[in-house]
Amino acid sequence: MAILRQLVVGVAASRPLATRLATSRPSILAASRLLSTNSRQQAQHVDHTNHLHPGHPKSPPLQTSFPGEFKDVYAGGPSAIEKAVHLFFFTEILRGMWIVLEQFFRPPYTIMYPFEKGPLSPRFRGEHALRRYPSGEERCIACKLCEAICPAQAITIESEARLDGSRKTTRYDIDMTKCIYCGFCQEACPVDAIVETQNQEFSTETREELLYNKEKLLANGDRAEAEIAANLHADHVYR
Amino acid sequence: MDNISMLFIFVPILSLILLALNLLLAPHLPYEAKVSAYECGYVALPGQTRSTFQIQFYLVAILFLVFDLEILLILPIAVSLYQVGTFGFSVAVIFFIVLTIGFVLEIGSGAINISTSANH
Amino acid sequence: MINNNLILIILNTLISLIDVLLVLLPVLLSVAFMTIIERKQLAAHQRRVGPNTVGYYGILQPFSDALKLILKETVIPSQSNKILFYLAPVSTLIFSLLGWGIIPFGQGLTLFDFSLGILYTLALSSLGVYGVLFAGWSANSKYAFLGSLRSTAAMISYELILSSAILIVILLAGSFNFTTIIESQEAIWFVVPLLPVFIFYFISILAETSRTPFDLQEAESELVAGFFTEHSSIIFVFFFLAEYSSIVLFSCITAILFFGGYNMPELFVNNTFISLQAVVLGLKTCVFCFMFVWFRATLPRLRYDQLIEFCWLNLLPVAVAFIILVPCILVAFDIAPY
Repeated sequence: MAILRQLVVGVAASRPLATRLATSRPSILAASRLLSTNSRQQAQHVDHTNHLHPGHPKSPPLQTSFPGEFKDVYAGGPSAIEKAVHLFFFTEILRGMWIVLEQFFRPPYTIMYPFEKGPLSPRFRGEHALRRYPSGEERCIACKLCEAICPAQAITIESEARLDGSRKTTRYDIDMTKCIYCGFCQEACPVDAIVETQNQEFSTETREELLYNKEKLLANGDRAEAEIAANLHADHVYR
Repeated sequence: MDNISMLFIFVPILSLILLALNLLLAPHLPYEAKVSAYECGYVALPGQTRSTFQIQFYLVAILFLVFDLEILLILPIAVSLYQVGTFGFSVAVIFFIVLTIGFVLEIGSGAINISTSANH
Repeated sequence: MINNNLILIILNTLISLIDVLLVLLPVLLSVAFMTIIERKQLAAHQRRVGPNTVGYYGILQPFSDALKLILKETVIPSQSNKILFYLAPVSTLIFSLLGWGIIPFGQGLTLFDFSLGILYTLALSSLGVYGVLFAGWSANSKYAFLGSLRSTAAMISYELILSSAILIVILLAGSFNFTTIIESQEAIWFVVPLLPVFIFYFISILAETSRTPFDLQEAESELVAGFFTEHSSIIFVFFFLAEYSSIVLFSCITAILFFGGYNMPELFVNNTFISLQAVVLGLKTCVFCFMFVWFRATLPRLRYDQLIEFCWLNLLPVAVAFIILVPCILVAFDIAPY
């Protein structure tokens, strides 16, 4: 038992003077924080064999005693003065208030929306657009895969052979109020005709303007083709 | 007329001006749903609004009365401690200790117990 | 002869009107800006920006709020007592603003150099409770009434602590007059010998003005808005103004009672051309208004029974102990002020 006590004292003797003067746990923590440069070397020996409570510093071992011996169970804890100080001067509240005061002097995270905007990834799913080939021919071949896969059944397609015999749509409507912007249509399309651009700022004042038809979608595509092509190129390795 | 009387007249006039501004400038279109009592969607029965309340509030008020009067009676000592000397001080302290015994009795008997078992 | 008298009376009235306006208009401005200060400061503590659109940095926000509320319809519940419904918030605002009549902005520079200034302040804060009580009662709605009962009980409980703390300061100062209290702090500010008293005094003024952590009465999850649930536009403005005016007033009183008021030791000469004493008082008031909002940003709310229990079982014994201790010390060392 004496050897055990010597071991504990030996470990404790490596603490600096201030932490040894302060005997209770919170005072030790406070004192060691003040001596931050050598806190690593003076860290308490952590017993990793205790799997129930891993990582806790070892407390002084319980000393076995014979019946009748006076054992003071409060010996290692905070003194009455310390407890009174923490009670009357609410030190933990003051510590919390100091943290909040530090935050007062730091810059805010707010983005001023219309003037500053957050970052968008190239995969961002926004307003729909119908693309064309570089020659000007529209890509959509009316395969109706997008209409079939749309979970909200927002796409309506009618198709007919065009005058030169190619398979094109006569009617391609996306009801943007039904659309859930999941991107399944752009995943399903075999020719990359229907895509979702990065634009999410297309709010209107009447509901009818949000029921897009083919002209609107083609116009979207013509306007944003460069951006769509760049986004597709940035993302194509993952598709 | 001196400053304090002018203050006593001016402040109510100021609040009445604000009130009058609102009465003049704001619309006034009451209808049934707007002027009914707010009870988060339920119907407010007129019989339940002024019913009995918990006795603890009344106890707090009575105890406040007693202790506030006690502090009020100690206030003269606060300004005249030098003049009344040790004798007056001991009178005040004995008075205060008697009332403190009553305070100890009040705490011990559990008079301040807002959260009764009925609440939980 | 009569003409002379009449002119004198009219001049006197005019001068007192100017005096009152000189105090009240900046007070009203400060109350208005206190609201925007609170929002901006809370936002800064929470790493965001508060209102910043209305003026530069949102400075004109309180004026736009007031304008909106004045132009809004006042909905009077059909089953309320109409007269009391209007009277309660008006009385709350009146008693809140009347407290500014005795604050000294310099040596003896008050609207009314009252030898019983402290009693006046305590009386007004006690009368302010009536407004809360009548507001909830007159609204004739179960939850507004309950909210006002709880608010009233909390306010009167913490008024005991407030009176005790002020009593102890008066013991050291020897007079009820605010100017005398400030002048007797020339040697040392009262916060130094009376630091524990300052602590429970600050707790009590947080509770008097129903601020966090004692604002369960206004917490939306509890009783919508407590006793002013039924009160809409201008009536709500009265409660709002009264609350922020109480905050600024109590900050000012804290600076006067514990921190030397308009005096800054060794730094200012009293006979400068522009008296800096009022500026010093203003700066100290700002520090305490900052602390009010700082407490709101940090602390969670106390549950209502914890609030009452904290006052009667924890704070009041400490207050009683200090009321017995401080005269004992003053008499034992024969240092009672005369």
